[in-house]
Amino acid sequence: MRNYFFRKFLFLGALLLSGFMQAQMISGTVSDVNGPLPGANVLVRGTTNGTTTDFDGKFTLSEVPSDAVLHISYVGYVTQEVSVAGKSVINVVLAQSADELDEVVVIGYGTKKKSLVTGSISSIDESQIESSSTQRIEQVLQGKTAGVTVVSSSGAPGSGAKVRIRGTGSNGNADPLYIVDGMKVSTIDNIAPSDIANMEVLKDAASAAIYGTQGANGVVIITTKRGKKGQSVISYNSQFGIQSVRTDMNLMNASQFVQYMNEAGQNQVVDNGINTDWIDETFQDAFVQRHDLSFSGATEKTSYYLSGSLLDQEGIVGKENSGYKRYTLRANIVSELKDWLEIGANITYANTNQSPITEDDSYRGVVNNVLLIDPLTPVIYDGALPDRAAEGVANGTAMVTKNGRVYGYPTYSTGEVINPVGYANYVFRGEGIDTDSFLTSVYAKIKLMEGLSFTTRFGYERANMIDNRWTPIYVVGAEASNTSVSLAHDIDRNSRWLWENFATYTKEFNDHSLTAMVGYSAEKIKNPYYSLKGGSVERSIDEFAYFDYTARANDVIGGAIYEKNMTSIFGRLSYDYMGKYMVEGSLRYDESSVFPKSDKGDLFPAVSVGWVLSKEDFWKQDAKIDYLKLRASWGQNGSDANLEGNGDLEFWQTVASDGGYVVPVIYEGVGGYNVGDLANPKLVWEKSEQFDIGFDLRAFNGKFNFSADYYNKETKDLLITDGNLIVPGSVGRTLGPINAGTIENKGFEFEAGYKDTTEGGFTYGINFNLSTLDNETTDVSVNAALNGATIPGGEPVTRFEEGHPVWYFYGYKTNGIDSQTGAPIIVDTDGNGTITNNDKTEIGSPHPDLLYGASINLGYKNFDFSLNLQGTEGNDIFAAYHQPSRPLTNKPVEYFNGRWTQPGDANAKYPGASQINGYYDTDLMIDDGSYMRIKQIQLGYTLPTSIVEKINLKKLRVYISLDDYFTFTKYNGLDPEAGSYEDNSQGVDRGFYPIPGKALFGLSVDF
Amino acid sequence: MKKIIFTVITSLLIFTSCSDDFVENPPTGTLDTEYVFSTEENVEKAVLGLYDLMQYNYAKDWHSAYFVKLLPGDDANAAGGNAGDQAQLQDIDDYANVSISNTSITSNWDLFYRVIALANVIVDNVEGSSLSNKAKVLAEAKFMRAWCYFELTTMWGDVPLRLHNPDVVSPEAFALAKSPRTEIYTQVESDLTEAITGLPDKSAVSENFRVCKGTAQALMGKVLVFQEKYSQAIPYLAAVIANPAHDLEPDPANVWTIGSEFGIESLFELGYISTEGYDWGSFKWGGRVESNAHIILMGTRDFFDVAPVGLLNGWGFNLPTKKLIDAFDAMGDTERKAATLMTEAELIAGGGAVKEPAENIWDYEGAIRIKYTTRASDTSPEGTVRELNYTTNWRLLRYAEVLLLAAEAYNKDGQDGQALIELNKVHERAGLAPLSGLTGDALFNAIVNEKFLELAHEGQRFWDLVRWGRAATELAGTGYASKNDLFPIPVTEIELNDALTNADQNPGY
Repeated sequence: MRNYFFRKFLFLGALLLSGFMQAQMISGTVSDVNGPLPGANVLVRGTTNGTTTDFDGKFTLSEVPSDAVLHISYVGYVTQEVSVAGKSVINVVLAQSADELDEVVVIGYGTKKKSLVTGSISSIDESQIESSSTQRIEQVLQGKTAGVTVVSSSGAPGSGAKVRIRGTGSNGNADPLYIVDGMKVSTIDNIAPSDIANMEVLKDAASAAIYGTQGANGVVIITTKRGKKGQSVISYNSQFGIQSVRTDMNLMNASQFVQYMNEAGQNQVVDNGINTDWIDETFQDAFVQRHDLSFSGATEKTSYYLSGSLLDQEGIVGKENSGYKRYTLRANIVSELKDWLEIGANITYANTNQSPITEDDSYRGVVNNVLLIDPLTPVIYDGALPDRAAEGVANGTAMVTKNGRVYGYPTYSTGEVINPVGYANYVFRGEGIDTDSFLTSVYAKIKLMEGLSFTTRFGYERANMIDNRWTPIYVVGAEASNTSVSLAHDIDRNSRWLWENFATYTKEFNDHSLTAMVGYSAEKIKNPYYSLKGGSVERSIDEFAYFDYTARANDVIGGAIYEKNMTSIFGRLSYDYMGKYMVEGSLRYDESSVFPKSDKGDLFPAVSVGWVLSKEDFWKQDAKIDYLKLRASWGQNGSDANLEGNGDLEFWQTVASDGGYVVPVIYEGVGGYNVGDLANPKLVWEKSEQFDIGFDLRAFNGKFNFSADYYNKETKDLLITDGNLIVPGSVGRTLGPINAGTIENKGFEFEAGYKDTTEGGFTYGINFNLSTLDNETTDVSVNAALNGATIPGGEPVTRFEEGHPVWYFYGYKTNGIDSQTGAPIIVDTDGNGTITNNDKTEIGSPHPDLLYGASINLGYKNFDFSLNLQGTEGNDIFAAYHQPSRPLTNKPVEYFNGRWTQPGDANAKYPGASQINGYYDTDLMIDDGSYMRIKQIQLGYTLPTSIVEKINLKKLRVYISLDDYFTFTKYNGLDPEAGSYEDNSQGVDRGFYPIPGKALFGLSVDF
Repeated sequence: MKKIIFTVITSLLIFTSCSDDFVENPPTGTLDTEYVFSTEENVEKAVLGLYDLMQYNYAKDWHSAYFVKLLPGDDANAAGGNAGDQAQLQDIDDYANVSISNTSITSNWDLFYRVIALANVIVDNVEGSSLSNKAKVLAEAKFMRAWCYFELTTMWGDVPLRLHNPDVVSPEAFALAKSPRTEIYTQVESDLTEAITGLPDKSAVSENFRVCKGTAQALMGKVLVFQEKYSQAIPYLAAVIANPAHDLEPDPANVWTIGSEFGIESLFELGYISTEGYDWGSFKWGGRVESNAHIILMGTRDFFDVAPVGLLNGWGFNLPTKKLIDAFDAMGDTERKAATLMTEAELIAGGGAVKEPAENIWDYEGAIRIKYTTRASDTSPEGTVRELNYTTNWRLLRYAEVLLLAAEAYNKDGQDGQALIELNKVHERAGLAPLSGLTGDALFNAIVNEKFLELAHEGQRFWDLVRWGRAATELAGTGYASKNDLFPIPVTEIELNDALTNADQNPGY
């Protein structure tokens, strides 16, 4: 009661005072660059007189003294103070806050202020994505943040990339878990980068532990855009460009090839006057265009974001034959339906169409054949056809252009090697891989009482994929022919639903702040698939490439289903005292259908702590360092990727899967049984345990920031899908997935940035990140090394072995070339006096020691400039595209220039021409794969507001960009970013589609 | 209140939808062990799986056991596209650089043990059962096990003798030391004894591809001859010879053609069919296919125009040696020679051609192979992908070999008269005049020579030379060394089998 009177008295006093000071009515609008800001706080400094802006960003305040100062604030914006100075209308434009500590980061099942984060989380926001000219989300991550490796599986349009967070922690599928708007997704193919508001990468175990069995390889959380209140925006982005191959690789030319082959004793090889540069001929300039259109806005209670996008990218090999098209539609709606109920829905439909050509194949890849075919073969015949081609035309087995001209048959190369231009343009037919995907998540958030809310969220994902291809008749040689039209369709119908329910309770009392979250979820994956094969149609044209018109009798159909179910219970408790001391703990219990009956589930704990030193009393207020936080975390995660389930049961089947094909057990037309894999009831989750310690620092009034982390991540009971790798042949049985051993990844991560604006209005920012990576297999469950990738001839060249990097390169070490014989000198590593298979050893590692990225952003007046680069140091590449069975094949020119030619030749790097064939499993095939690539150089111009407003626009920016244009490397292959789909083939170059350089012109308009 | 109701309903829904068996997904398309061994009919299907694996091992893409066994012999060259074509096969043919990681040798080793492991499961599950076909099933499974152990010990010497499969997944359970060859032979004989008892006579087998009593007797005879237990071998071989269900195919031209498949001369044969009608899209390289894909590997390469003589081209492997051509000529053998090979002159006379100079054709010594060749008539009809649908069966054991084994046993046992009788059956079937007056070593040499020609390109020659102690002389100058008497044990076996170390590797590797 006393209090009441006191306040009333104060109020009266203020009223009196303001009257005395000529109090007046003030109105105005608060906005940001995009438009009005509803809900901004406007307060007369030093008083309780304040209000918030309405839906149109307008406010009115009465009784404001003429010399008062208005304090205007809004979350995420820099607070401004404006002197009234007698004015009655005050319009304020707020700038977005540069203070990242106030930013909110998305964590699993919630959000958190960046200043309170105790784990290692990197954020990539809209502005970094918007200016990026990339076509896929994974590429946005490349080089942007420490500890994240993005390896392209291929430069082919539409192909994915492998994202590795803190090294290769797993085998098989070491991809991170992707969460899009709360929904676990199996692919991010169908998300247009322009729809993304921000991405968070959860790197440490404690942050990812809330995702339990699926968090071991890190988590990438993607949040798509929402409409903003008071800002009805129509936004259109468009991009056009030309892609081209940007390689420094040179193969031997015709005269070099002839000389090399003659020296090798292949005297039938003679110069025929033809000199084809197959790299130039096969890789052509190709077009790319992208269009994004979005409508967004919000009313008082409801926000919406609607968008559509189109991407059309031709391939630099075979143009549309290796092209990619993506169409997406999205609707994001959030509504505060009641004061206690918020509902939201994110709905996406996407259609993608990809036409892959064969690559990453040492025998039959188009790119492989570019590297192997002799330069004495013409691309297309001019004039009279040689007998072989004439015969091919007569028999209808020649590869011909659309105009009926004949692609050159290899003059000398034999076997699987064929004309790659013909291969790319003639052989691949059909619609390609056409995928319709639908992704939706809907949620309801109920405020049960102050501080307590309950969220139920249901996500559903469905992808219907039809891979429709056919192969025409062609006969180039015995091993390179298709003597009847063959049709192949694969149909996959993948679906997943995920239902999550969680309650969050937040309580603040005195200086303590507490957030507790508990929840449970269930999910089901159901992927039926079908395959159809048939052939022999009347005519070798698209119009006959349907199963109605095949010979029918030999059509083969197949299909089965993959299912996986999981339930989880999870919880997290976060506490902080004065924002100074933070502690967080989480627990998750998962049960999954893919594990043995006896051991369906497991518990994943995590704990992390943080201490903001700069908030301590002893911290000098005038210190150059204005923020310093120490962090430490520990946690366990799991992985069940790639498991089929029921590995604990012994069973029989009417089919066998030898050689990777499911084939009925039939002998002389009679059906039989095959005994399945050995039962493995001891199969357990792959468990990764990670310790992380680091600090975040900001100095010079927030202009400089620096973070450092050390982590040590141990993956135990590593899952390997092919258990046969541990079974000696004499056991005579096959084995499914196994727990194969332990991998350790450790390293340091540094991120530094500096940004400022000079008085002349010049803004600049520099960011740099660096990670070290030390990868080692510390234990293998059997007393042996496991073999991985093989090269033609069957020799294994990658291995999984204790004390070595994961899937290191394995082969013979050489010590120069014998100056007398021209043969490489193989090192007798076991010292037994003879060279045997046991002398093979570690000859390289595909894992870099260092990864780095940097960006420079400059802005002056209406111009902006950015440069992003990214690189690796210390990784090797194994050239596995050579084919020892086919000696009449080409090689990089270095093999010619560096070869031994005659006795006494002491400085040869490569063996004599007649010797090379036996040494494809030696370290001569290892090259330094370090590279530095300028991912993007972009120059933009934003039209001045005065001009833009005249043409009724809000914003107009144009830019030109060179993407992936400049690469610095010592690697003599096509592209140092030689990726692979298989983890055990990392860095094994069998002929990859190189990443094209792109010269782009872009335009973005806001209405 | 509304919100409470909403929350409660949601919670209830999810709990009810998640019953205990939510995280159980029964496997699809699987049969449990109990089901498989519950009826006579099902057990027969498990036994059929043995044949299917044998069919796979002997024609698997580039690693067929048929070809691997044949390569070190002096009857055939690896050939192929060039000296580097399928280096692992060239290495075996040339005796040099036979690596402990040779993929073809490894494939053979693994697949012989696959058959053995399947036989072990069948034996272990059927032995205690009361199925009416128990005796026959056990006999058939044990025959297959015996066959594979015999092949293993012939090619690798001392090998791990595994008769029961591990029931847990662990290096300890997988570890098994090598057993001496004598112990392998003992087990093979024991299995064959049971097989002879349990298997029906050839006249009574349910399907023509199944092994019969005669097959087991013939193999027992062969195993005993390999151990130089000649007198013990004779009764088994004699029993086959005396059985009217077994005999020689009268015309030498028909012995290896599809017309005589599973015929009177056949004792153990692996069948291949074209009914799957593979094309380049549906064929499964390295998988269990029904046709004999190994035939295209061994067809003449496009250096040869063979269409006029009724053949199709292939990838050029497995060409006859000059030594073999000369041996036919020296014997004056024309009919059997014509069924085995075709000289360049004969090819040209038949309208064919050799399009490259002979020296440019790797491993070509003047003739192409006719036995098991790419006959246009042996595959699917014209208009289909004929390269992939050869139906040629491998004759793994036939009556002529039994006669020659018997001749050898009689000769070594001092019964030269009987030996000559058996030898002449084979000799005369080839259209040659009977041999006479041969005894002792001269007779033995005649048997050796006869076998060289009769079983050329059938994978017997090298292993015979080794056991006769004749490899060093017959293979002089080819690169052969005594270490080649055995294949190297695959490095994967030594590394993964904890009971083996590098010291267990065969000598010289």
